[in-house]
Parts: sequence; C-alpha cells; structure tokens
Amino acid sequence: MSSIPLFVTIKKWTDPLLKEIHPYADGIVIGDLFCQKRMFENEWFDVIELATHAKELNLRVTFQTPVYNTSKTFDTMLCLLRKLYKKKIVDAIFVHDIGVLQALKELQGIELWWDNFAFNRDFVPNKDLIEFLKLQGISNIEVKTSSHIKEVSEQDCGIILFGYGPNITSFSRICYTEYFLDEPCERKLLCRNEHPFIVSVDKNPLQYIADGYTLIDRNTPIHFLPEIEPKLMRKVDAIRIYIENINDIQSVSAFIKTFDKQ
Amino acid sequence: MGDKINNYDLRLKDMEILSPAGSLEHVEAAIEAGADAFYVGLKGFSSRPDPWSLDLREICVAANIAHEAGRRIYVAINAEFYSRQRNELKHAIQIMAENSIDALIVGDLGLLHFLKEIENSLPIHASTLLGIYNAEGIRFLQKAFGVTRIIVNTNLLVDEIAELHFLSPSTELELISYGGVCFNDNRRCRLPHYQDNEEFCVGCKQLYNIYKVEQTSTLPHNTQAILQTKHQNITLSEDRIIWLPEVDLSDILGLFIKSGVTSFKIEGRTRSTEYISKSTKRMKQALNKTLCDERFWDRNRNQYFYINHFSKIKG
Repeated sequence: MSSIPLFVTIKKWTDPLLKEIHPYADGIVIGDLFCQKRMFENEWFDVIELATHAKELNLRVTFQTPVYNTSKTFDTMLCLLRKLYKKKIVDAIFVHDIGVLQALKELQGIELWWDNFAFNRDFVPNKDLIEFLKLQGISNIEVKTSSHIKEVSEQDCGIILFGYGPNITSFSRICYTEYFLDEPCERKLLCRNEHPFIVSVDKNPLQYIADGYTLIDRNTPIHFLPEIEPKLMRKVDAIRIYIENINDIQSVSAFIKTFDKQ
Repeated sequence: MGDKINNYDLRLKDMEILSPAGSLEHVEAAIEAGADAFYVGLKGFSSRPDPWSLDLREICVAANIAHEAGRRIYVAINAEFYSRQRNELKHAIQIMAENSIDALIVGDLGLLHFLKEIENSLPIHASTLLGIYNAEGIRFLQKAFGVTRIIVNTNLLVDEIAELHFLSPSTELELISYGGVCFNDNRRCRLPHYQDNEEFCVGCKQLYNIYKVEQTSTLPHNTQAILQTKHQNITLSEDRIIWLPEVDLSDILGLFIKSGVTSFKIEGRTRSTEYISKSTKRMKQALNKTLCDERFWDRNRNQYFYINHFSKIKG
C-alpha cells in the first residue's frame, strides 16, 4: 500500500471484487453518479451490506451522492446516509450540490468532500469559492490537475486527486440508452456495457463513447497521475480512481509506488 | 380578469417575459416587442463572448432605457470568476447599484460569498450554473445570500419544479422557455471547450449522431482503437438523435405557471435583433393568451393543464 491513500470507484460493485481490491486500496467509493442500477445489483439496497463488508476488510468507505438530488431521491438518500452513519460504516461523503451539503451537516464527524463533477464547466478554484466551501464544512476538494492542486493547497484545503478513469466530457440526466434502443432499460446494457454507443458531434464523427448518461472522450480510461508534478503529489491527501477491472488498480497502484520512492 | 388576479395565490402580477439582449439595439427591440424584463452580460464577466456583452457604460444606458419604459434589467455575472477580478467586480457592482440594476444573475458559489463580503445591495438571481435541484439548496441560498430567484435547471422535470415551488413558495422561479436548450447538463458540459479549445462562451448547438455498435469493419479506421476492448461485432446503424436546438414552451406556459414559474426566459444573447423581437412577441402573446384562458382561472380544473399539455408533449 502506498503512503497516499487510494480510494477506488468501480462501475459495478460485488463482494468478490471488494476482496480483490482490498490488498491495493485504502478505501472504496460507493454510489453511482447517475444510475444506481448499474453500480449495484439491487440499487441502494446493497449499500449497507457492501459498506459493512468493506469495513470488515478495514477499508474506508466514502459514499458518492448522485449528481441530481431532486425531491425524487433526496429523502431516500438522506435516510440511507443516516443509517450508514449510525452503523459507523461511512467515513466520508462526496457532495455535488449545496442543498445536499446543508442536509448532511447533521452527520457530525463525517468528512464532506466536494466532487470534481460539482464544478461549473472548467473549475476555477477562486479564493472565495474555497473559503466558502470550507465554511460549509467541506474538508477536501477533488481536482484533476497540477495547477488546481497548487491553488487549492495554497488555501489550506485538503485535496483528493482524481487519478485515473474516464474523462467525462459532458453528461445528461436523461439516459438515452433506452430511448435509442427503443426497448426497456435492460440492466445488462448499463452494467456490463455490452453495447457502447459512438457519438459524433457536428463534423467530428465518432469522437465520444456514450454510456447512457456520460459522454467520454475515449473508451480507455485516462491516467491523470503521470501529468502531476511529483513535488505537488506531496500536497495530495488521497487519490480516487475509477476502474473498469482489477488490472486497472494494479497498474495505478504500481505507479503510485513510484511516487513513494521519490 | 383583474379581480381574478387579485384573488389568485400565484404571483401573476410579477409574471414576466424575460428577453435576452447582447447589445443596446437588442434592448430597444426587446422593449418594443413587449418584454417585461431583459438580461445582459457584464463584459469580462459574462459567459457569452464580449461582443455580445455590455460594458458598464452601456449597462447604465440600458438601465435608463429599461426604467423609463417601466421594465427591468438583470445583469449576468456568470463566467468563471477569478480571484484577480475581485476589485474590478467590486467597482462594477457599486456602479450598477447606483444605477438601480434590478438584479444580478450569479453562477458561482464563490462569487455569492464575495458579494456578501462586499455587502452587495442588489437582488440576486441564482443561475442554472449553481446547480439547484432541491428545496434545501433554495432555502440555503435565500438565507445565506438573500437570493430571491432561482433559474430552474433545464434538467428538472415538471413535477420537480412544482415541488420546489411548493417547498419554497417565496422564491421566484425562472425557466428557460424559448431558445437553445441541450439535453446535456448545461452546468457542466465541456464539449465546446473540449472540441474547439475555445472559451465557454457560445451556446452549444451540436447535433449528436448516436450509433449502435455491432460490427467493427464498417467503422472508420480511427475508431478501432476506441472499440478494441469491446468483444463483439460492430455495425454502424445510423440512428440519429437530434435534440432540437430550439425549445419553445409557448404553447404550454400554463403548465409551468401552475407549477410556480413566474419568469419565462428566452435564450439568445448572441442572436439577431430580429430573433429577439420575434421570440419576445411570440412569448408575450402566449403568456397573455394563457392568462386570458377561462380554463386557466378555474381552480377546480388544475388538472386540465396537466392532461392537456402532457398529451401535447407526447404528441
């Protein structure tokens, strides 16, 4: 294990996978940005069990709140988090919007992390924004680049580095997988990613892969870590990666160890 | 109709058609066409290109024109906000306050924090860029920053908008109801930037072609790498999703009025004067028509609008 804690998100969580990941990771991130069907067999009903098993393996548990928390999901999500909190099986929560952040203040002692998807378009870590987020109880901000590490660290805020995963170019609340196929949402489509969609944009054909919600710039995940200046890695409090399979975590883990040696 | 307005618990007296203005010519056109209010971008702080934003002097002129005509002017400060811009913005806010700008449209939490620090006195409207999806978010913005209006995120569904109104009735809701709206999240879409390496400044009007992948051999060479991890045959079946670059809710304004929306916004600060004039007239007429519809005023027939309009949406 490296000296920088490594948190792992995966498209679909299962118990066996948790055990496989255990030797490499310090923690897991559970909860899908959009559709819980693709991350869990039984949507959020699996979260408590999974978090319990992760804790038994001595892994830290971070809950990823979904991007859109409207009246349709808000209370359910809050109840779930209260339950996780009460059972002491959640350590931190990734937050996207100010309403959720306010509601989560009741869970005292839980670390609140501001997600990289919570920023408008291109993130500008202005002094006022970071000061505001800290006042609201945010302890860590997730970033992707060296310049953002520098700017956030200068304002004495914790840093989560998004180190590896798909580079999401855009996303939609509408899952157009179903619309496009003109057939009911089959879990296999979302979870196993058996049918990728190629999306062209204006005159740039076939540039993106779509999974129903997100447009990403290529199918292979991007390794952000090599782009980070080694001296800035010391300012990083944790790394979050989004993996497809166990091979991904092995390669990322090996890479992080090279930083440790430096 | 007047008595009914007085008795009706919706704030119909505040109902407005909100037009875009990227120049003083647009301002004149919007007012002429019947806009109740218009919005402009502050040059250097607007998410539209500078040629389609107004500098401070022009904003003061526009404010004067608006107020003489009995209309309102809102100023968008919705581009990325950098710490180095603080002094310049503070000065601009002072000038705008002196000229009685009716509201600032703000798209950054840090900027809200800054406005509070400098004791801004102007009303604040929360841009869609703030990503407000729930009543908790609205209540916080109201309490912490005195935000008076939420510009509803374009990804919210009608019942969710109605719920926001039900849970936060004192907050005005504004809806983009005419012009460019994309199915991608307008708060976080990086496509224009990603593709053209340009500033986020021009409304994205992409056409999306979506292909179901079944047979690799038919794909252009450069896509092979993208698809090599997929263990299947690939066919390019050219299905296409085109999200209409224009949305027009003029036929279903009643649905949204009953859901709590009081301001109907037209997108298009970078469009022609003719577009602004035409779209404003269309929306104004639609609003008047809705408010004159007897069925709209019948409290027992709230369902009418839902049923009528949902059937229209389904086509």
